[in-house]
Amino acid sequence: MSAAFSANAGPTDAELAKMKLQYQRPETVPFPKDNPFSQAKVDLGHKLFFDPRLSGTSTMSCASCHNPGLSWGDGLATGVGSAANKLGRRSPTILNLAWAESLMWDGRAGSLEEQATGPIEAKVEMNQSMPRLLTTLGDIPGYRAAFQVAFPGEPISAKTIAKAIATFERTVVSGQAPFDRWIEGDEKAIDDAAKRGFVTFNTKANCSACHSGWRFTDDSFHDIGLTDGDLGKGKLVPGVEPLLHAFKTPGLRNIAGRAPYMHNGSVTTMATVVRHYSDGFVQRPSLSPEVYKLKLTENEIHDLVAFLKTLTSTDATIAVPVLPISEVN
Amino acid sequence: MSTRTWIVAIGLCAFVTASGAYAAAALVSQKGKIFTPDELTQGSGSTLRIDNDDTIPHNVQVTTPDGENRNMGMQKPGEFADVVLDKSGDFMVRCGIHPKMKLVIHAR
Repeated sequence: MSAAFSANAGPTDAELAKMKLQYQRPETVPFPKDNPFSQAKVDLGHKLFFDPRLSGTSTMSCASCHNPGLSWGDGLATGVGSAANKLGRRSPTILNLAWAESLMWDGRAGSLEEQATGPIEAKVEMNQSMPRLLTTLGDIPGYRAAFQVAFPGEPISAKTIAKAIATFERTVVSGQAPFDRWIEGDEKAIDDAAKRGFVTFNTKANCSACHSGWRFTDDSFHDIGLTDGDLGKGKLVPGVEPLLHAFKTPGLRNIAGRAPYMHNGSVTTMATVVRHYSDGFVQRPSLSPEVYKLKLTENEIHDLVAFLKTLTSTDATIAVPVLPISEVN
Repeated sequence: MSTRTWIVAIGLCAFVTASGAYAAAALVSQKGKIFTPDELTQGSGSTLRIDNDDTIPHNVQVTTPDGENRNMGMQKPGEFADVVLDKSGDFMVRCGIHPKMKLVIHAR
């Protein structure tokens, strides 16, 4: 038995080693065959991501809601559109989406390429018209040149805009966190409370049933028993009970910097999130079978939060790019 | 023999016939949140039965070779979905609840 767990009759060393094996980081970032990596696409996507001219009022960029200074979210309960209108769901982080199976809280986009232009054209979000955006970008010499380098022989189009933004987004990966150093064998990287929390996360609390793997998500959809009326994926796929009120499991990387929590931003602290899963959810037929009363003790809640705090990485600062200027001024 | 016994016997025959028909089709199982097998070749025009041998519900969603999306609804543990391979080409199958679950059926 591991000394770290002896007080609680925790897992054997072999059981703990098996648990830890599930959280090893991949060594490379995957890029799709029909949009392979190129530095030119990353550079162009980086510019587009931070360019407010992608919105109808030129006041809002992708980075307005996916701010690198706020773990690529906006720190708000729910997002805000270009007319300062409140949106229905929280802005999700874009960390680690290269590995995502689907995008958006309800999974309606199957790839980053499919997702990238959605918020640009959505009336309640960036409210831009694609023909107008193509004209705007085509009038900027710096963009004409950057598109030509990234997509030789292709016109500036919704497709190439999406490919560039998607390629940039795939490079947004959370770095090494104390948890990763522990997984790699550094016993001093996290404290005993966090180690106990990791075991509880994988056993009694059943968190790992959905928050699985190094990104801490199964990319699946679950009703976790929140009381708002949002039907989530159930609105898109009627007739499938488990999809009612179901949302995509968010990854937990850098979660300490990503409050407030849940798809509607209704929970402000990690401890309250844990209490929700312990006994705060509503019972209904669509509730995920993975969500059940846990009867966690205060010590277990403390340890789970201590563990979650070890998932925060110190990442390199992302520069706000110098944007190409229009020749029409 | 009472009337009731006959009804039960006829019902049993119907069940055996149905089971026999399904047994003739290749089976795909959903267990542990994976399709097994996750790729197979079937004759076009045939029907493939996908069982839910898991402890949780699944939702078979099919994209046909020409891009049509077919939602087969929910399959609780012990239930199944019949996928009709009415075209030639690749049918892409995913679970709508657990989209990491993927199956490719080559209909030839």
